[in-house]
Amino acid sequence: MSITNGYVIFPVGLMLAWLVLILLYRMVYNRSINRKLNGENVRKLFEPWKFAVGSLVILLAGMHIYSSIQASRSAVQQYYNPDGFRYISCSGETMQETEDRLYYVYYINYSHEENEGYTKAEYDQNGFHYTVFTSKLFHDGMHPDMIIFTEYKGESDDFVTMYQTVSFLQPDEKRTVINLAMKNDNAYRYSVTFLSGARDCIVSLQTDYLDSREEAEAIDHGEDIEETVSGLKELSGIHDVFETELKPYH
Amino acid sequence: MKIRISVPSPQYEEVKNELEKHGIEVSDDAELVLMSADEYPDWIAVRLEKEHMHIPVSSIIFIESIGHDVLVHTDTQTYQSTERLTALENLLDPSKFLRISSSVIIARKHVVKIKAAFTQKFILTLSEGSQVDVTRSYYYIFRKEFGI
Repeated sequence: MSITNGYVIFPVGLMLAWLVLILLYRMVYNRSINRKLNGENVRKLFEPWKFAVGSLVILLAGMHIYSSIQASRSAVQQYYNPDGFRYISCSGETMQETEDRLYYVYYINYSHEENEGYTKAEYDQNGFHYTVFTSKLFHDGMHPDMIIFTEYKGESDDFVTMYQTVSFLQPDEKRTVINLAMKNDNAYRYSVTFLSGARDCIVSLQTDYLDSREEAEAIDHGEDIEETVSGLKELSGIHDVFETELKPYH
Repeated sequence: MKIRISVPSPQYEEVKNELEKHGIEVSDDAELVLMSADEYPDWIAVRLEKEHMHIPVSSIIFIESIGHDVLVHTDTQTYQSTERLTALENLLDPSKFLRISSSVIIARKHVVKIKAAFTQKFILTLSEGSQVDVTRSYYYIFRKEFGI
């Protein structure tokens, strides 16, 4: 799968379509003004540059609205930190659904099976299966440094809310650089997390399934993130922490 | 004293004779010009190599200024004008001629095709095949005058 797939090709395709539209409009406009020159009574059209600017604004606004709707529908969460740590997270009932949701929101076409430019490793622990893709590419801001596909394989279905907490830790003392908790009211078995770090660190991905909405609400009203994380550990029916090194290539 | 006359053809001979009667030489290379106040001339003075002549305004397709020269293009020939472009712009009937850039005046009836560029500019094709540009400074004037 090409690393430029989706994330680049879909918006590029839209822009090419826009350029074609502009060229077609210019043809129509030229035809209209020459008909006017020949004495025909024709309606005045927008000048080509005004049409180009207006249609571009509409296109970008439409793309933004579409992405926002898709994001709100598809339980995709994202966080960008000014220090350069960020994640995008998405979950679904099946792995395919999870991958599709990411594609339609961010035009990212990554797969749990193989991704060009990434090395793959798999781990099993505590009923969870983790497929980790580590980037071999230059840290460019457009591609994640690491992708973690998570599948809960346990038998229990008795949960109503899922939390995933991402912590970026300093490698030597394991001191937290940043700690982010993502909540999903649809407690899906499948999730994917895209991670990018500003520097070498340890990524800690904690997954918690709660079987009580009341407990979930109590967590939501916690005062800070540390309280949320420790609260989750105590309340969750299903809990696992997966840690791995993240070394963005600079 | 030398004077150049720029009046409609029917009046030309009469005015010329009257001036010469009073000892004023009429010459197309004179710097002083006598013009009609309420009528536009139907001819202009031009030069072809070293020969001075008059050509009908109706035969002009476009006039362009290149360096120090002002060239008058007709269907068959290109002449040199003795006037500056701005003087010609004031001399010619604005309902028939339009300035489209700092260096070009066109005869409106000889525009056969207009092409819009993406920037505020038009490219005009004239009846004898030449292409001239309406520049950004004259863009809105051109649109207004041609109703586009």
